[in-house]
Amino acid sequence: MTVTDEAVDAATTTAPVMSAVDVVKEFPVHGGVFGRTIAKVHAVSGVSMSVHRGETLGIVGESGCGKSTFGRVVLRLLTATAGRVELGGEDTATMPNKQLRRRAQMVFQDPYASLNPRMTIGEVLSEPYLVHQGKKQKEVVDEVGELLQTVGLSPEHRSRYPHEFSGGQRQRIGIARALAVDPEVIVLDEPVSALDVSIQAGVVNLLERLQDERGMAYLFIAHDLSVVRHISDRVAVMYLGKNVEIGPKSEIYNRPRHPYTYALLSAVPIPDPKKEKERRRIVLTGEVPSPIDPPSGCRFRTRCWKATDECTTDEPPLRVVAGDDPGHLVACHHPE
Amino acid sequence: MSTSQRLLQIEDLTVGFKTEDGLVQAVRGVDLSIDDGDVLAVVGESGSGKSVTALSVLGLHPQNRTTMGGRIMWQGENLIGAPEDRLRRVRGGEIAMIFQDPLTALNPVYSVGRQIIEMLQAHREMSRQAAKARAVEMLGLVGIPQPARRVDNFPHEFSGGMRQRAMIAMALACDPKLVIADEPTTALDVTVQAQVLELLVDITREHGAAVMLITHDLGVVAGMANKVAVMYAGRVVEDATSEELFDAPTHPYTVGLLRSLPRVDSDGGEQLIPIGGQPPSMLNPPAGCAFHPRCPIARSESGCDSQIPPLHESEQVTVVTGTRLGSGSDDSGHGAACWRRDETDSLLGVRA
Ligand SMILES: Nc1ncnc2c1ncn2[C@@H]1O[C@H](COP(=O)(O)OP(=O)(O)O)[C@@H](O)[C@H]1O
Ligand SMILES: Nc1ncnc2c1ncn2[C@@H]1O[C@H](COP(=O)(O)OP(=O)(O)O)[C@@H](O)[C@H]1O
Ligand SMILES: [Mg+2]
Ligand SMILES: [Mg+2]
Repeated sequence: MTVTDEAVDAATTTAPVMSAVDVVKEFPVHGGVFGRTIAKVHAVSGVSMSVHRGETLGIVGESGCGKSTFGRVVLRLLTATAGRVELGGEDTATMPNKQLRRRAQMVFQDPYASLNPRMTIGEVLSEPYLVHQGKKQKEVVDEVGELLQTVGLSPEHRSRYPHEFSGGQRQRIGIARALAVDPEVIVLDEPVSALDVSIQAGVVNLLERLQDERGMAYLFIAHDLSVVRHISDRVAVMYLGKNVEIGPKSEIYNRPRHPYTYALLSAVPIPDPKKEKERRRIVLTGEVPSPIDPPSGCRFRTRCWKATDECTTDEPPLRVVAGDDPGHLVACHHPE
Repeated sequence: MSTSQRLLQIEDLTVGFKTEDGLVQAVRGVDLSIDDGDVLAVVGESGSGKSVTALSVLGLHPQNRTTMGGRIMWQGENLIGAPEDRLRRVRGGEIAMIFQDPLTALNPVYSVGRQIIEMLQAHREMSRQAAKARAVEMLGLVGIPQPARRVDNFPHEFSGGMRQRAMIAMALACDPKLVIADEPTTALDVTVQAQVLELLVDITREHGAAVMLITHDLGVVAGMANKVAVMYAGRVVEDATSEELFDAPTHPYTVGLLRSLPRVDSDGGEQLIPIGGQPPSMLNPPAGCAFHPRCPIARSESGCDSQIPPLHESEQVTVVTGTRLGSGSDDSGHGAACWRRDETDSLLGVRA
């Protein structure tokens, strides 16, 4: 049994590595002469998700729906307005920073922006050992060399600077840096979005192999529904700060219940002219409403072809549609 | 291949940029053709020369540090070396361009309507009033709500998707015969992308215009294009109808692209197969087939590392002793610039 199979079983039997409960994040909007708070951006509005050892939970949704904000709150890079995040059952709100960073790491879309241009890759990758294990630079030469090899680079790369690497190589460095502390969870925010497909494939394979070997959980944030289908065990769909649907990936992709998920999937072009000709595409009308003043009830209702009065007055809770997989939840009054 | 005149025929186009580091050989002998009604997709990884090719058609390269060779035949007229006032009439009037980021093409200090009106007046003899009416009509056609009101809005008052629609309206206002769209939806969300692409293809078809659609998304190619050209390191390495390209990809690079692609229509049990190595530096591209250092079936004996393989048979001029000439097109006009194109089947077996 691979770690992935275990993960799927674990989802129903064991405690999650990370769980977020009713997470809310609002950003104040300042205005007027005195810079008072005049409104709030409702970036994340009550999102609960958990991820198990060896499991990848994909988070998809269009730009501005709150994916990155949620990922940052999970890692306490942003303070939650309400709700809580637990690591191994412990509330992270009171966890010492050092402990939190050792257990939960992040990989960004553009690792270049987060790498100090004046530090060699060897120095960048030594840092976690120096900080977390109190070791000296000279003592971790082997560890750094090994780490570089693990992510498909060579130990000789240690003396080079970030600008000397290609996009794909830099992303491998970003992954190596996250791995150095042997974390339980890694939040990956659009980790392959900036890479060409032929290079992207290598990074995706690397992430899959590392998870098989080490069993960490991934929160894989991306807007590319194809990559997410490939890498995830479960998938959560977000719209305007809400988790509208979550479940095993085969359920989400083969039997989407939420009209938004349905529309989103129908919009992804398939690299097969015959399939493309036969497809029925649901073209959403209108634009995503402002997160400053989101619609009442179901936030998707303004663009939904099934919306009724109930959708305006009552917010649909996440629930299982009768007969569905118990892990497949949808927040809709009129599921597909 | 027909001998009748093509709408656009690019022959052996070369473009080099003089830089401090040396000459960047961005385009190294591109052959492309577009007929009326075609939607030609140009695909390839970043840096393969797609945008440089497109900008060449419009004569938009900085002249003082650009070297250009070959021919760009626009309805029989070579645009390379054409006088600037002729190019100005071609741009926007006969050939329109849509960019990835409409903000680079739209002037932030003028209303969207004013920009369409000026474009119309530059290319058509039209009163300001008639031009304004046409601008409103075009904005409505691309799905901008309340066009009579929005025509006076500035670009920043439009959302990303709306701006891209406004660009399409502006591009099509003068009834161009060809629209070149360079990654027009790359910055947009997938649901908006679907809207904008469908709009672009529908409207150009109604106007009887051809489209050159530059993209790196093979899904977009499958959905929109009837013909495809795959670029690698400044050359077209494969050209075919869209059906043939996906049914029988022939250049090892095309095969590699398809194998590395995760699919939204499959659960992804099979591993992705990346293309090894890195795209080459265009300051010093590899000899022979530029893909050979990354190619799983390249062989010195076949000439892969020494001679550039032609895309179509008619161009075959070199004879490699001892080996069969594999490169060139088959009967259907499907071209693949590979000395070992008959061997690529061995790679396809691995594909899902
Ligand atoms: N620091 C911030 N201040 C104000 N608004 C923000 C901030 N960060 C994000 N937002 C807003 O919160 C919403 C969610 O953003 P984000 O989490 O980045 O979405 P995604 O990652 O899904 O594209 C957006 O409307 C965005 O503009
Ligand atoms: N104005 C320029 N000066 C120097 N090099 C350039 C210039 N424009 C493009 N290039 C180089 O030419 C090559 C092809 O670029 P481009 O056509 O933009 O690729 P793409 O296929 O991604 O559109 C790249 O190596 C790029 O760096
Ligand atoms: Mg984001
Ligand atoms: Mg480009």
